Amino acid sequence: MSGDLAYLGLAEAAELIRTKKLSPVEYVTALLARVERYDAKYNAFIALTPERALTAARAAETEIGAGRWRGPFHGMPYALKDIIDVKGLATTAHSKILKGDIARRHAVVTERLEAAGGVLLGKLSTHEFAIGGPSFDPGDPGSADEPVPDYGATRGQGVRGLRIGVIRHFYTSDVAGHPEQVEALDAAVKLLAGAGVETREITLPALQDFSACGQIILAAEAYAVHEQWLKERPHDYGARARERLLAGATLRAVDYLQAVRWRLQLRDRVASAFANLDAAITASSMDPACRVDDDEALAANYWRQARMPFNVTGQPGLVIPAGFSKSGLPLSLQLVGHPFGEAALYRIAQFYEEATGWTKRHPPGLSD
Amino acid sequence: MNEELRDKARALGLDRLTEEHLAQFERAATGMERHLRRLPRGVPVAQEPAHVYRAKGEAP
Repeated sequence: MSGDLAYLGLAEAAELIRTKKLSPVEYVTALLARVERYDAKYNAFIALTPERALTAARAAETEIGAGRWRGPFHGMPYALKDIIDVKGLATTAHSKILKGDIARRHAVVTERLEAAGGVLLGKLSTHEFAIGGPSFDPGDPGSADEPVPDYGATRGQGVRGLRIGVIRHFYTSDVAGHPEQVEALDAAVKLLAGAGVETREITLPALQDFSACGQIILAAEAYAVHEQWLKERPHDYGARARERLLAGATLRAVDYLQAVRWRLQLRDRVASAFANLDAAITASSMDPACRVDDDEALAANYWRQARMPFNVTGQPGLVIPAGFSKSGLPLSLQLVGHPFGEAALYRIAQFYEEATGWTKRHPPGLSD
Repeated sequence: MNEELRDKARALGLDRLTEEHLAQFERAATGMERHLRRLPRGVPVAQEPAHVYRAKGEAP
C-alpha cells in the first residue's frame, strides 16, 4: 500500500469510493495489513476485527456498486476508542477491571456510524478509563432538543470577517507556556489576522479556577463509578488511573455540589466573553509533546493543559497540530466554539491546515 | 506510611490498598486539597442545575 493511500483524508477517500475508483474491500484490506505491520510496535489497537471489517466492506462495495451510496462514510474504515460500546465486542476501557466485558448494545455514535455504512476495523487504546479528562457534554446532540447542525456547511469559505478571541492569559500569565508553544500560538493568531480575521484578546477566569472546578466534579463522579472496584480490586488498575481515581475518595457531598454550582457561574462568564465572537483560540497543551516513555516529563506536563475549561463549560473544542518543536515533536493549538458551534471550528481549522501544511508531515517511523 | 493515612483509607473502606497504593492516595488527596482551596464557598443553591430524575420504567 502506498503511503499516499494510508494518509488519504476522509473527504478524499469518500469521493474515490463514491466514484468507484477505490474499492472499500481493497482499502480495508490494505489498512488491516498496515495495522498488522506496525501495531506490534505502536499498540494502537486493543482489538482488531478483520473478519467483521471485511464483511462490512464487501457489503458496502455491493451496495455502492448497485447505486445505493449512503453518503461519505459508506465503506469508510474507522476505529473506536475502547470506551465506546459495540454490541457483541468487549469494551475494556483499557483496564483489567473490565476485561471481557461484552457490550449488550451499540453506543449512539456506533449506531450512527453503522447506519452510515462505516467499516469498523477494531477498538483503540486509551488512557485507562479515559481518566485523562472529563466528558460532561451537556450540549451533545444526543441529549439536547435541537436539530444537529450541518457542521460542514461553511467549510472552504475561508476565514475573512470572522471574529476570534485570543485567550492568551491561559498560556502566558496563568501558566507559563513553553516558549516554542507560545511562539506557535502567536504565529497562528498572526496568520489568521493576515487572512482578514478580526482577532482580539479576551479575559476569562483564571485557568486554575476551571481546573479546580473540573477536577472536583470529575473526581467525585468518577469515584462514584469506581468505588467498589477500588475497594475490592485496587491492584487491577494501572498506577496513574488508580491515583487519579483515589482523588475522589475524600471529597464531601458539599464540595461536589459547590463545584457544580460554580460551574454554572464559570459557564456564564465564558458565555459573556464569547458574546460577540465566532470562536476563540488558545493553547491545548502548554508544552511540546514529550516522549511517551519519559515518565518524568509526562508527570510534569500532564496537568499543564487548557482543555479543562471547555469540558467544564460544555463548549466544543478542536485541537490541531501547530508545527513542530526543535526536537521534532508536535506543537498544538485549540479552537473553541459556542455550543453547537462546531461548524466555525471546522472552517477555521481547514483554513489553518491548508495554509500551514503541518498535517502533511508524517512520522518517519510510519513511512511505507 | 503514617498510620493516620492508613486509618483514613480504612474508614473509607479502602483496606486493600498496599503501601504503594497508599502513597498514591496521599498524593491524590494532596492534589485535591489544592483544588478545594480555590473552590468558592456559599455559591447559592439557585446556581445548581436541575438533577434529572426518571421514574421507574422510564429509564433507558
